[in-house]
Amino acid sequence: MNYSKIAWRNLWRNKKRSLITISSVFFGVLFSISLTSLQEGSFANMIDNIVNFYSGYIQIQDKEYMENNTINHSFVPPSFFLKKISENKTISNFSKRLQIFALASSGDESQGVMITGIEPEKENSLSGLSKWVIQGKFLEQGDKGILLGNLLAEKLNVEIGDSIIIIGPGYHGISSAGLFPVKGLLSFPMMELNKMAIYLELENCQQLFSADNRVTNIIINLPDYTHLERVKSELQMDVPDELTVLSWEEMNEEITQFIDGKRYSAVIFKGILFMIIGFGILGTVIMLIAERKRELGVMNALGMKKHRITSVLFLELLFTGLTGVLFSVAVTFPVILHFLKNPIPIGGEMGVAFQDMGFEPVIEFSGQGWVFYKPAITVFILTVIISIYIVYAIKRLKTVDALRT
Amino acid sequence: MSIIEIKNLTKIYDGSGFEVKAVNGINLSFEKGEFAAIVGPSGSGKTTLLNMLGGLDHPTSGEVIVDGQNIWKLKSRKLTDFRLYNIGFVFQAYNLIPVLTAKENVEFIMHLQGRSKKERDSRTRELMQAVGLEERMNSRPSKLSGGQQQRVAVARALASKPKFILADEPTANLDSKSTETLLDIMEHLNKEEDITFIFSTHDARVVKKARRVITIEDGKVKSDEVR
Ligand SMILES: Nc1ncnc2c1ncn2[C@@H]1O[C@H](COP(=O)(O)OP(=O)(O)O)[C@@H](O)[C@H]1O
Ligand SMILES: [Mg+2]
Repeated sequence: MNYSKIAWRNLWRNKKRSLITISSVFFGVLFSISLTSLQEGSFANMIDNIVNFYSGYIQIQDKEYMENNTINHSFVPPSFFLKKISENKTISNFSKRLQIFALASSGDESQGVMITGIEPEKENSLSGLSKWVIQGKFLEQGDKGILLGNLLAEKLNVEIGDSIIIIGPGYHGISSAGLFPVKGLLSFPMMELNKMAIYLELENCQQLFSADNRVTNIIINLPDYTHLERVKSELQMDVPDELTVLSWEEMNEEITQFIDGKRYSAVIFKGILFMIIGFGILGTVIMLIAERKRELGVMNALGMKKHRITSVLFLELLFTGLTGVLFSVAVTFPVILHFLKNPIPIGGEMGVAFQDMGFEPVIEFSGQGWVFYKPAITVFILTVIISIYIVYAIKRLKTVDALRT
Repeated sequence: MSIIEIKNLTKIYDGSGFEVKAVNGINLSFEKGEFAAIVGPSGSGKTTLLNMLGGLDHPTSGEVIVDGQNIWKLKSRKLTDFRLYNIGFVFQAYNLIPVLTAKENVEFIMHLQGRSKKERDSRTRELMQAVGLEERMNSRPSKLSGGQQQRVAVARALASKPKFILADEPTANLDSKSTETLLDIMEHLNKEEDITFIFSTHDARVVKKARRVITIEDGKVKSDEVR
């Protein structure tokens, strides 16, 4: 016969009240887990999109490029530095890009476009570009053809095998133009890219813009973001003076701020939620101590020390929280696991809106451990805070008075 | 050599504007093996006296000396331990712990004392037998009659092997049949096992059984007779 047994039985003395208290914890944690999982899932999805399609985890750029991304702030990657990058064991992939805003035209139609010169094989293992090819073929080393977004092709009224003209500002203002055959069409889940993306082979691109050996970015990918800070500082040690090492967060400050803002308001929201739950539990605790005053007095009279009495009550409180948490994890875990494997597609106008903003139209969940254990820890902390009242109430308990009630 | 000595014990309650001298300078001593009744009308100070004797209610002045030690000199925690190892309590309202079975209520004290499971089991069985309730070991208090609950309470009071047992009006809530059974059990334990009982009552049938009758009135000892 131990104390946890007394606590457990006490918990079920007033079944209705205990169930209400447990339910409040249950729904609070359930809500918290769902909200966080959904939010973190969509953040991860966003970051994934950005990292894969646009920026990579880390980029090497000219120091001026961020402010003013023109070809004049391109650079010739020093070979010793490229060697350092390829020798870094954590870096899974890296690839060079030469990116320029230019004009594409065919017949009477012309359109502002984003030209990206890529190293086909490396780029593909980095961003999986080839999987978006819906017609024609992906680029090869030394290829003279180009890939373009399907909506852009529609706009310019071209098909595979047709040619388009690209006109743009070359390095140091030399105006450049070229004629390129369409080799493949791309369809990304993001509308914006489909309207303006053109890919061609890096050397081909360098020739077009009179920028031999020059690139605007070196894109570096990592197995996951946990190594980001370390790799970044390793690269910073070797990077030449005129270049800079940027993390995806630095390149996408708006997104980072957006995510931080959303996280912050979610924390406040969950904070208020748990505070309400906490006050509910506190009310129950105050009530049950008042009800059991006599019994608690008897325990003390018989020789149970006050700190033991406090522990038994704390255990009861802990069991309340634990039961609620376990139930909500038991409910949310399989559901989230299911949606992790099967993200919910967003259809209709919502989906289009997502695509317009440059995101994949799916609702993703996050199944990271902390999504589950953070609310559990919150509930635990809540019980610890509430137990301050228990300590106080039991310390104040006058055994004689309790016996006379 | 007495096991309990009470010296000039006084308890004054602060009423609103006036003082109540619930216990007013009482001197008494008890020997091992006594079967003593404290008798007096309601409000005469019996409960207050027993509570001070049992280390539950702080005296305004005076001393309670048990085995040469003034218990009211002990710190609160030590006093709790003192109660655990030296005193058995029986209350008027039984006061069993409702979520524990009869057996567990008796075991509870020994659990607090840190006794082994084996010892707890054998002593609980023995005590439940002594109060004639070995059949009801696994019943919760709510399933027992008042008389049965009070017998469990007596078993619980004995479980810790205390120096003496304090019982404040133990039969006040019982019918005459249960009263008789309980008193028989107490008397038997007193005679056969030399257990010291000090109980308060204002029931003449209970008084009849006592071997020492201490009468108090207005917080003072009126008479103290040994039969
Ligand atoms: N906590 C208290 N505050 C004020 N007066 C009290 C308190 N407890 C008891 N009394 C008073 O002390 C006197 C003795 O009470 P008590 O010891 O309970 O007597 P008995 O047990 O003989 O009925 C009574 O007058 C009672 O009203
Ligand atoms: Mg009384």
